[in-house]
Amino acid sequence: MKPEFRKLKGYAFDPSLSLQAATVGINNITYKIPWEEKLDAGPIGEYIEVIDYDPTLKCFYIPVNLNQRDLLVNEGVEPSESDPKFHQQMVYAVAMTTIDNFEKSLGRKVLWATHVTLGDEEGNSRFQYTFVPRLRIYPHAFRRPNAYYSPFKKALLFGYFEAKPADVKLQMPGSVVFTCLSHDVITHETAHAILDGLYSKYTQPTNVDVLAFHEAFADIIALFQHFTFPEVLKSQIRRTRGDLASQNLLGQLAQEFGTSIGHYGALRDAIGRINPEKGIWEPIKPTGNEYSTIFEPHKRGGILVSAVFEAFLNIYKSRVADLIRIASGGSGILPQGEIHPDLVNRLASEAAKTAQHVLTMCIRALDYCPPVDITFGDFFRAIITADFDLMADDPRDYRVCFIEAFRKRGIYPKGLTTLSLDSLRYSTNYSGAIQEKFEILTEFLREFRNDIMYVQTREQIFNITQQGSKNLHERLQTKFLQASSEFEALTGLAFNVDLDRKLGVKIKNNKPTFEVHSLRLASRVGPGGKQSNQMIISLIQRARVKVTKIKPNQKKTDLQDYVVNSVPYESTDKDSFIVRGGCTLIFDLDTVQLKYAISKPILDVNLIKKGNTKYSVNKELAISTYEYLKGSLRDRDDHAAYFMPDDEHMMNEPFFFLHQD
Amino acid sequence: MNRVNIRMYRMGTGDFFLLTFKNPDEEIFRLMIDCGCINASEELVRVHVTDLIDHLGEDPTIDLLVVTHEHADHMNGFKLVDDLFKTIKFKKVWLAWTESKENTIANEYRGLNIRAGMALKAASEKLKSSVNNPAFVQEMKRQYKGNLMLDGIDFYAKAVDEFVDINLPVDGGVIPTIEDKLREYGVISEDTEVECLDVKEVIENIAGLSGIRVFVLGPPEEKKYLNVGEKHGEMYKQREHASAFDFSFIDVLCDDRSNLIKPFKDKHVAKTGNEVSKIYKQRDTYRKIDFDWLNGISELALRYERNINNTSLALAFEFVESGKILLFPGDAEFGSWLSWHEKLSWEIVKNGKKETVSIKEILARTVCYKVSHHLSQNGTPKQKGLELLSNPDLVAFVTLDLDKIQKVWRNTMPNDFIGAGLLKQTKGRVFFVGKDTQRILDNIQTDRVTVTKSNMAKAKSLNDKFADSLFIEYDIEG
Repeated sequence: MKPEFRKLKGYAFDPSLSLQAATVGINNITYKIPWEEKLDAGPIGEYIEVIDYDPTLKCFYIPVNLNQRDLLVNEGVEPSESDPKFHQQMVYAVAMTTIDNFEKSLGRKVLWATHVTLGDEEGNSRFQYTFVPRLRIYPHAFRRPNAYYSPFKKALLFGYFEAKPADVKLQMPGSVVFTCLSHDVITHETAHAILDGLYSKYTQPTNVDVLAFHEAFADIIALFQHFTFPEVLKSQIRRTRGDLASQNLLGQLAQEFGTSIGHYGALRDAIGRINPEKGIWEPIKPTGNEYSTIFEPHKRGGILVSAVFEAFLNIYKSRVADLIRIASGGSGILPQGEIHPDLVNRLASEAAKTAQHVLTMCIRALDYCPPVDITFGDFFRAIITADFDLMADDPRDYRVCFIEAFRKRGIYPKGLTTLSLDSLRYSTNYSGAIQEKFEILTEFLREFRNDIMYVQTREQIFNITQQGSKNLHERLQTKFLQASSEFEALTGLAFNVDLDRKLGVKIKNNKPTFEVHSLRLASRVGPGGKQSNQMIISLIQRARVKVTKIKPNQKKTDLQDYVVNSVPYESTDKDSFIVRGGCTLIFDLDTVQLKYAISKPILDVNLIKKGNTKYSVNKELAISTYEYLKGSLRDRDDHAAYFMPDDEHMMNEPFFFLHQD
Repeated sequence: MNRVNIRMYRMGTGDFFLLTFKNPDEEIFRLMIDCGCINASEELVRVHVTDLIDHLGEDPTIDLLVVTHEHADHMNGFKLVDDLFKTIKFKKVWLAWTESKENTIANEYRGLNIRAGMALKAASEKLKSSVNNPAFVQEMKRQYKGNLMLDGIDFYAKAVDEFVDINLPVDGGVIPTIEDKLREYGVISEDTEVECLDVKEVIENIAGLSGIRVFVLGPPEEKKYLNVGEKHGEMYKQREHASAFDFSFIDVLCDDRSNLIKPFKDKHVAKTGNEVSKIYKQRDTYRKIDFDWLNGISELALRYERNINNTSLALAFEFVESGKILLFPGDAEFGSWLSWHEKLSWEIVKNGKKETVSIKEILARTVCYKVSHHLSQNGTPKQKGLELLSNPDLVAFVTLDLDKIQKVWRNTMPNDFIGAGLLKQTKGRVFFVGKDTQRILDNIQTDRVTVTKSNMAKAKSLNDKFADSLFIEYDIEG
């Protein structure tokens, strides 16, 4: 019988913690990752290929073969900074753990972003799309305190450097620090790669939240993955006597390590800091206007990280309130001294459950996001909606905890008048007329489900999805060509040929073009055992527009101060630009009914709803994209300003530039 | 001395000043500050320096020459027309303490900068070799957005070159000081007195310059200020120090095998032709990372430039009687400004009593500000600089020319906030080296700032008076 898991030794944080007596016990842990039958030296498995090449020295390091008998018995190579084989094992173990968390939460296999090449020389097709089976990982790619995900190479690049530590007690000056040995850094970068596989447009920012979201999301995954290690939790709870908020080693240490690596600290500065007078770590109290005042991507990302972190703490507190009361004889104040080991175990188990739940909520929310132009507000609504979908009632008020934490930081989704559970959750009430329109998709959805449901390999999933997207595209184009305005109002995208020319949408074969951006099947089980099978379709449409500001010197502006004109898609007018709209449609596969339509309309939907026959482009989206693109280069850090000709070039390696300094 | 004529030569982005101090008896003292410009040609410099010599008259003499720092846009003129400079008599030269060969910190500092410069050059060569490599180019051209990648690398390499180009040329690893260079060009002769000024010094009783007191503001003594370039909001952005980890990178760039840090022992290195190397070389070649590690060089390039800018000799000239001040900070960036606030005050004797002068006082009394670092975002801080330059008589000189500038600098120069602030505080009395004043003003007037029409018009008309002139001239009563 083949084993369920492969056990591999590794660090829970990073090597420096193994040098401190207080943390050595929790730092060396065993990662349990799903068994891969075929795992070559590298390691090179189904999802990941570790290529240990150091281009600064032009040499390869001997790859680890984890199927070697002694390594199987010993749970891999012993943790060691001086053995590159352990480095390879560490990146493999942590990246696989991260992938596993995503697969469990999303209810499907993780696929990496597609490799796109230009079509053949005969011009048969413009682009060719190739399946990328493995994410490539270079553990020793350069000599800088940095690590990044390259969307272009579908690869993680980790740097190493000679330490000049903030705290010489933790790291020996002059010793070499490897970013590939940090759980946080590896998880963070892997999460970037997975997110890029789901939403490739999130690496092309159109508002201040987009890149900040990428960073924050990656960091949330890294942060909460810690809490899934029981050893780490128990020790921590023993130390803090159950109160994870008062002095949180996980948050604090992640922060400290971040300072020596560089950018990883910045995100977490929003969680807490060492009080200079008392010398202890304290969480930062939000002021309420963070979201409207902080714009630098890392700092802004920190707002989201701290919001989710606070939600987690509040959920944990409410979950353990009864335990604390029992243990304290009803007073809620635990007696002096160490707390009972049984209580430690119970508290740890509650914290782990909470963490797992928060992690799952955040990952699942991805399926409820629009495919373009994401904002924190969109993600907030996605969390609430996704959770509602799996658990109709909320006995422990998880969702309320989230709302409170987001509200405290001023993160309000656009277009909502109240912040109630009902208003945050996306609407599910679609009229019979709309459902009828979708009946033409019923057959397709059923067929696709049957095609993909029992397919095993990720390559097959990729191929079937590619074909399915083509079929769906064709169907949408023919069936919706003379589409009802209801469908256009729902998706916010243009399908009616006569109107589109004026919208700046590209016309091909007399039809407006759009892209089936993704097509995914999600089979999830909620905490209450509720099974849900959904089909998620996302569509993207592009239009060329030109925006002019009427009063160029006015600082405070509203929509009235701009003129938005559609420009023919092929135009080369330098002042025009492409704006993207998109829509995520979620179908319940059991009833084959539309459940949600989450849209970033490219059309002015209000006009359609009013029955107006003259369509126009969504002014708000055009203006916000314009403001972002126009302002950006000047406001970027020096690296971009000096070293990149324009934003488009920078966005080829967005994370390289984001992760500088 | 009770008045000064300020002459700003207009060669291009770069500094070249002549200050002529006069007393009621028409005795004069000539102070020259820097002579350089970006991408200068010999011809261009010759025209301007010839004009200077004509102006100096018979037996051309400069009483005091100040060379603020080693960047080309402040001193390449000396080399380009060294024959002309040999005809001028320089009585005295002032340099920053960082140019002193007797100072160990200064020596170490120059050594680090030289190595950084060599590394930059090597990195840019390597990057250029990638975009000239046919196999690499072909691979990239097959990729979606691969052309962006190629353009990006090309641009990046050239940007690094521009950072290298503004530094003194290094020949064979010898570390020259500005003094060495000026001797080589014949600017400093046997009769010239050379002084490296210590920061915090107050210099009085300069022969021929009575009634003028000089405060030495920078460069800062502490390393931690040297690499601070700019400030975001209330928090300034501090770069890492020029630390060891730079050198693990620099060593490998300079191919310095003796110092090379290897992360692992040789026994861990795989034999050539192992399985993983085959995969790297043959499978998905678009994923190779042979050049990506060079991208880290931009950070080094910036720090390198910043360090040198912060070694600028920053001086404040005070008319003792009126207290009016002329501020010439070279290209001092935020770190230098910060040190003036945090570390410095100056002791003077006034009416027989000891008094302390703070930087706030100096800035408040400044009536002439040579805008630091060509009106870039990091040259003039907001709260610690611009807002304190509150004198109603303030006039500003900007050594920026958008027609003659490093291409990559255009994204940061002129900075609209600082430009608008200066136009407001000087009521339009801002002079530019660049003759296309309108272009600079247009670049200042973005929608993030407000500039009144009258200040705009005033600046335009003041500069237009010198439309055909090699220089701008302005008189200040002391």
